[in-house]
Amino acid sequence: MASSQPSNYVHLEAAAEWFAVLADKPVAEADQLAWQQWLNEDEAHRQAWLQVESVGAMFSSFQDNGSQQSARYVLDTTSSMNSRSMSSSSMNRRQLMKGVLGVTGVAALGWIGWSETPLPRIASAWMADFHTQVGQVSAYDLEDGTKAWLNTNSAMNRSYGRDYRDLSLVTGEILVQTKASSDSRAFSVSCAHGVIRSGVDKTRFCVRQLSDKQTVLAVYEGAVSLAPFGSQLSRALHAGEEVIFSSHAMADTQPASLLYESWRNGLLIVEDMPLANFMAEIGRYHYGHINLDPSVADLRVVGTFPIHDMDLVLSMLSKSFPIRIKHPLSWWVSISAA
Amino acid sequence: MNPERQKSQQVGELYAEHSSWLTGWIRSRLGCHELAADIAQDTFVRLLKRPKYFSNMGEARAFLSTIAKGLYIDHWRRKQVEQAWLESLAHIEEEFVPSAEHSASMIELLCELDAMIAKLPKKVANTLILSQLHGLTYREIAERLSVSERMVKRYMAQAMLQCLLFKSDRSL
Repeated sequence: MASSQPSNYVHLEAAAEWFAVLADKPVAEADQLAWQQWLNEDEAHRQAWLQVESVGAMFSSFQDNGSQQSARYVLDTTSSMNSRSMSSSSMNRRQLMKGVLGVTGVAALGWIGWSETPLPRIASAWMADFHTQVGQVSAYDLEDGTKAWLNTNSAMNRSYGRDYRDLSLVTGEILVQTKASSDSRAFSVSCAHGVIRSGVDKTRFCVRQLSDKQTVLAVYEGAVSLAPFGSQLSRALHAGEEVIFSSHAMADTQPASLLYESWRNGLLIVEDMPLANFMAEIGRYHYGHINLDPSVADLRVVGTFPIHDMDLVLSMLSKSFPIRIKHPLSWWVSISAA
Repeated sequence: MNPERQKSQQVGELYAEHSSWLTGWIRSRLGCHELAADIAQDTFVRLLKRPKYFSNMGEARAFLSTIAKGLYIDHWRRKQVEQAWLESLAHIEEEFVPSAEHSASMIELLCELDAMIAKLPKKVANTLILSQLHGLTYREIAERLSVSERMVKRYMAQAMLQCLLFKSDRSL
């Protein structure tokens, strides 16, 4: 919606110029006088200046120490989101947090449970065909009979053409189940680091982007072939196999972990996972903070946990480990040695 | 019929014709029915404020989906602001942590500021934030952004003018 210039545009422009003169302290006396004179010249000038003051007042509302720090953090964070040029290697939010809050405030013991997704990718996720919010797991029935599940905070695009069917993972994690079909169009899932193709047999596999550099593929049914974008090689993976890959390389094939499938049913199944990783994993489904004392970070977690019930997860953990859990606010968890 | 009534009648017809399509369209993207219904509702409210006439169904749907997209981006930005606010609280000494009511009104204000600042070029936005929120002088800002002080002043004027235009556009 294009906005037309308001009738008082000239005065707003002049008022904005005056604002730029007066916003730097100390203000020269001559400037102060000249501004005063401008203000008194015309009622329209005063009206325009009132508007400037109302914008200025929005900033000065954050006067007390706490809200000022928070406001700075919020605007520094969100305004960096607007930068389209921000490359994936530039600041992530954790670094931003350090930069903005510096040494003021209470230092967190460990800062986890935080998505390392670069912000521009979060923005493109919002524009994708399908996406989920934090804590949401959604199932989609596609027109060719393929089923897809998007895990928390994930996004994908669907492009089906005359001779291809492609789902592309923009961010996060997707579980796909293809039908043994007569559909002659090739089926693929593409992601930041490569493309996974399935044949005519029924398949079920999960693709999760682990970081800017790595993606994991786990196959639970049938067989697929994986081709990283920057490599001539491809590899066949069968049910029960898993591999971590980058654009250029594939690690050794491992047994598939249940972790990449169980979320579909709202469960987190872990076999031998350090507590720090476990909290990061459960943290993907919840807004807020988890502070973890490094001395308990290496405790090994085994079991099946409900993704969406943080209270229950915490009570299960406190029964298995010598740890003390404080959960004073719904979005703030702090774990230390008992 | 007076023009006001005519407007709302037209929006009413559009609503009857397209609201369930629009809700479905948004839901297929967001996966959340309630949110989709809210956003569809807001889309039509927006249309009531600034009516438009469409010559065919495709045009109407293209327009509705554009407004809806804008609204859900707003919604997403709001979530980001709320999240960032919560994060920041954990890093503040306890005595300074604002009350829940205070937080709510600050979040409201920050959403407004954020929407305003989102329209500014990056350096211009940073200049405004550094000056108005961090209290830096123009010289300090100039050093930080590696530009001249004159440039900082120009950015400040540009930032304020765009904020003023944004506000006057909103209040229409």
